[in-house]
Amino acid sequence: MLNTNDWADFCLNDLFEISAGKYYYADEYESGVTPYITASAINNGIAKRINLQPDFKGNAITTGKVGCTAFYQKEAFCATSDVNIFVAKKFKMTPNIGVFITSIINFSENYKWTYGRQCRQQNSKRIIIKLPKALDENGNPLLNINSNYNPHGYVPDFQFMEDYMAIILNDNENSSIGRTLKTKNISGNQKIETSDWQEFYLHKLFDITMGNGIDSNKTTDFDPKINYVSRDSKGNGVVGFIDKMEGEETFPAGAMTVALGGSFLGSCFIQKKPFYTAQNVAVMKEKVTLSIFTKLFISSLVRHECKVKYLAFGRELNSHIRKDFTIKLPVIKDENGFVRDEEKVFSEDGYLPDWQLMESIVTDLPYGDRI
Amino acid sequence: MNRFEIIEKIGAQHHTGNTESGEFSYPTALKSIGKNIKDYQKGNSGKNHQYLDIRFENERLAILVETKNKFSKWGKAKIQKQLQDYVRYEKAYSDKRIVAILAETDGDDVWVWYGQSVIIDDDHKIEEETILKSFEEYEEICFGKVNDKIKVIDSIKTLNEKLHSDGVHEKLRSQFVGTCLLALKNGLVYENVKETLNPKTGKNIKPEGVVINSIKDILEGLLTKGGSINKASKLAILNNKVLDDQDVQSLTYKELSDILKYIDINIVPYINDKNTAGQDLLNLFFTTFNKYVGKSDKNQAFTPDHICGFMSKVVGVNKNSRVLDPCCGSGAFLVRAMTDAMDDCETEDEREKVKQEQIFGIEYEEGAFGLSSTNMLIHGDGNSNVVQDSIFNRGKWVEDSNINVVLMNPPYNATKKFCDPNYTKNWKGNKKEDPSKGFHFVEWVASRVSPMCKMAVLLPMQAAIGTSADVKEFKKKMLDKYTLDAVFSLPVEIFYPGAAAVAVCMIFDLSQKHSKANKETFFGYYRDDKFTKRKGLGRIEMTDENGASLWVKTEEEWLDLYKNRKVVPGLSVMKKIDHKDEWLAEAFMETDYSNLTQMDFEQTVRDYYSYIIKDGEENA
Repeated sequence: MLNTNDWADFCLNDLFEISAGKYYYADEYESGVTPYITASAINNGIAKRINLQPDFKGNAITTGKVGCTAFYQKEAFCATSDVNIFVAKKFKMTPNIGVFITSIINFSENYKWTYGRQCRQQNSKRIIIKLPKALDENGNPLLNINSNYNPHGYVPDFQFMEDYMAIILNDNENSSIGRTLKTKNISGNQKIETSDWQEFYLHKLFDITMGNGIDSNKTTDFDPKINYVSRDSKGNGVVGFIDKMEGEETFPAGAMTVALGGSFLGSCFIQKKPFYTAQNVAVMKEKVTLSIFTKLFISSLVRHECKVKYLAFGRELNSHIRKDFTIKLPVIKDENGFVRDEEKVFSEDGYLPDWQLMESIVTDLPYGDRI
Repeated sequence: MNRFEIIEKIGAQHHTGNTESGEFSYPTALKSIGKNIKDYQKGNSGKNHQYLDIRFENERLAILVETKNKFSKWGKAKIQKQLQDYVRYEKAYSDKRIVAILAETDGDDVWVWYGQSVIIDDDHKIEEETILKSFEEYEEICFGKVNDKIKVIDSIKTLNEKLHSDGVHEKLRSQFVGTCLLALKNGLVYENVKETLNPKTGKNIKPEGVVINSIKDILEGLLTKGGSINKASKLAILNNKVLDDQDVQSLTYKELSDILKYIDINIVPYINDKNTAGQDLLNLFFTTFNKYVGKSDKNQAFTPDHICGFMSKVVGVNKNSRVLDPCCGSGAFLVRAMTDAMDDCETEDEREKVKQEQIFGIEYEEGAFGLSSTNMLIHGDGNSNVVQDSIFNRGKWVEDSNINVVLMNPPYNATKKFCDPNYTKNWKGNKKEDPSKGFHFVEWVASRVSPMCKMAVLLPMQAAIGTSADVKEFKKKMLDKYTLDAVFSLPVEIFYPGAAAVAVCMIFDLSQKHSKANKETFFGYYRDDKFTKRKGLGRIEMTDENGASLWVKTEEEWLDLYKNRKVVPGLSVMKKIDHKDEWLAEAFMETDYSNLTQMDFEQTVRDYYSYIIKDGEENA
C-alpha cells in the first residue's frame, strides 16, 4: 500500500494542454503506420494504423471519453474526436511519468464515466487527481506560486514518479515485473528456409480430442479453480475462470487448444494451467514430450495453415483436424540426407520432426528468452 | 415442547433476545430506532403486551414465537390478538417477512401464520403447518430459492420455443400465456375435454373451442367479481386480441392442452402469495417473455422486478399508501406496491381496501395494458383502477385520486403523439422525440398529486446530467417546486436485453422547494446489484455457494445507506446541489486513494508493454 496521505490535489488542466482529437472518415485513409487512437479500452487505445500524417506528437497521454481510459502514447498519432489528448505543459514528460499519471487517472476516474456519462474535453479539464508533492531539503512542501500547478503553490514530485516507476521496471530479481519485460534477442526479418520441410498429419504428432464442450451457461464461478478455454484469439483462448464440474475431466497444463470454428478459427494456444473447453475447441496432447518452445512453433504453423485452407462458418476444422489437417515441419537430416524412422511413428514416409531446431528458432526470437 | 427445545428446533443461531430472560422487548427495540410503542398499541387489546417470548431473525425474515402451556386453557381470540400485536410491532420495527407462531409448552400443538399481511385469525392460519420447522425451512417457504427462479426462466424459454413451433406470434405470447396462467389458477379444466354441442346454435364445438370458451368464461367471471371499471374494454383486449386471434384459434386440441399442461406443471406452482418468490416470478415471466419480441419493441425499458421492489421500499409503501404508476406498462410497479402494501395489512378489510382503492395505473399502449390487467388479476385483482389512456387526458382523475406515492418509469424517447400536447406545441417542426428525455412526464405528474407525495422515478442518465436545454429547464422546474431527496446511479445494463439506456433513480419530496428545504441530497453509486447476464435468459441473480441470493444483502445495504444517510467512499456521497449540477454520485464522489497499490501501476505497465511488445518492439 502506498502512503498517499501527503499527496496533493492537482487539476489536469494545470498540468496539461488538453485538446480533442480529429475524426477521419473511413474513406479518408488507408492502412498505414500512424496509430489511430479511439475510445477503445484495449491495445493502448489504438484501433488501427492509418496512412495519414500524425496530428499529435508522441509522449502524450490520451483518454477515451466513454470510460476515460487513459494510455501513454510514445509514438506520434492521430486520434478520433472521442479522444482527449494531454500534452505536458511546464514540465518534462517522460515515459515513466506518463505511465505513472496514466495509472492515477485510471484509478480515480474510470468508474465515474460510462457510455451515458462521457468525459469530454471540458470534463477532462476539471479532473482533479492526487499526486505526490515535491518537498524541499527540510521536508517542507516546495512552494512555487508562479507555476500554478496547485492553488496552494504545491508542485508535483516528478522525480518521485520517475523513481517509483524505475523501481517497478528495474531489471533485477526483486522486481516483480521488470525482468519479464526485458529481452536480449532482437527482432530480425530473416526468411526461414523451409524448402526441405516435410508434411505431417497433425493427428500423427498429437493425440487430438474434441474437448469438454461445456456450454458457458452451465459454468459457475463461486470458488473458481479451472481455466475455461473457448474460441477466442485473445488471452490465450482463456475466457473464464470457473468452478470444478462434476463428471468433467480437466485437461492438463501443457496441452494445446485449437478453435475449430467461429471468427477465430485456428487460434492455437499452449495452456499454462489445467483447463476445460467450450464447444468446438479441440485439445492436442503431445505423443512425445515437447518443450514449450516447440509447441509455440507448432501453434504458429497451425494458425498459419488455417489462414487459407479453412474458413469460419464455411470450411470449419471439425471434420478435418483429426483427418487430413497437415503442417510442414523441419525434419532431421544427416550427411546422407533425410533420417528415416523404420517405425514410421510420425509420418508414413518415416520422416522425423526436428524438435530441437524448432525450439532453437523460438528461443532466439525476441522474448523467446523470457518464456 | 419446552422453550429450550423450541429454540433448538428453529435454530439457536438466529435467536435474538434483548432482555436478560431472553425475551424480546418491543418497547426497547422500537425505541432503538426512534419509535414509540404507544403509537402502535391499540386501546382494544386489553392488556398491552410488550414482551414476545422468543424471536428469531436473519437479514430478511423474522420468526415470532409466543408460547402458551396449553391452548385449551386460553381464550383463542385473546391469544391470537396478542400475537397480532407482536406482528404489528414487528412491522413497525423491521422490513422483514414475518412468520408468527403460537406454540404449546405442555403439548406439541402449534399454530402458524405467514404470507401476505400475516393476519392472525382462524381463516388465515396455515392449516398444513402442524409441527415446528427450522428457520431455513421457513425461509424457503417465504422466499423460495433463487434456483427456482432460474428454473422458471428456463421453463419460459422452453415454453417460448413450444409456442414458436405451434405458430403463435411473438406479440401474442406474453398475453396468451398470462391469460392461460390466470385461467389455470382459477380452476380451468383442459384434460380429457370432449366435443360438445353448442346449446345456442346446435352445432358441435371441438374440444379446443371448449377450452378457449372456458378460459373466456373464467376471465369474465374474474373481471365481474373484481367490480372492475371498463370491464368491457379489458375483455375486448383479452378476448379479441388474443383468444380470438387466428394463431390461437388454429391451435389443435393437442397443442393447446400441451401448452396448458406445461404451464400448469412448470409455472403455476411457483405463483402463490405465501412466497415472495412467487411475485417475483410472475414479473420475471413477463420480462423474460418480452425478451423475445421483435426488434421494433426491443427498446422497451421494462423495469426489472428487483428494482421495482427496491424503489417501493425506498419510498416506504405501506397500507396507507395510495400509489400511482402513470406509465404502468406490464404493471411491475403496481404489483410490487400492492403486495408491499398488503404485507403491511392486518385485516381482510384493509387488504380489500388496498386492492380496490389504493392502486392506480395508466397505460397508453393496448398490449401492455392487457398485460398489466392480467398481471394484477393473477395477484388477486387490484386492477380496478388501471385505465387505458394517455396520462395527459387524466389530469383530473389523478388529482381526485389523492395519490401519495408515485412510482414511475416514463418513456425516455417518446414520440410526439405520446407527449403532453401543451409541451409539444412549442416544439420546432423537425423535432420528433421528447427532448426532455421523459422529464416532462415526471413534472406533469408531480404538479397533480398531493404535496405530501413521495416520488421515485427512473430516468435516463442524460436527464440527470442535463446538457440539453430542455432537460435543464425541467431540472430547474422541479427544484423550483420540489426537493430532490436522493439519486441512485443504477447498474449499466439494467434493462438488458431490452433498451440500452443507462438509468438513474431519482427520489423527490414534493412538500417544498429545494432551496427552502436547504438540505444535502443523497447520491448512491449503486452500480453493482449482484446480477449477471446470461445468454438467452437476461440478467439473473447471483447466489453464494449456499444458493442464497446476493441481491438480498445488497438491497439491505443500499437501503441502509440511503435511510441513514451514510457516506461510504465508492458507494455514496451527500451534496448540496442546484439545477445546474449533475445529479449523479459519480460527479461528486471522492476516490479513495488509500486503496492505491503498486498493482495499479504494474497493471498499467503491463498493458503498456504488452502493446509495445505486440507492436514489434523490444525493451521500450
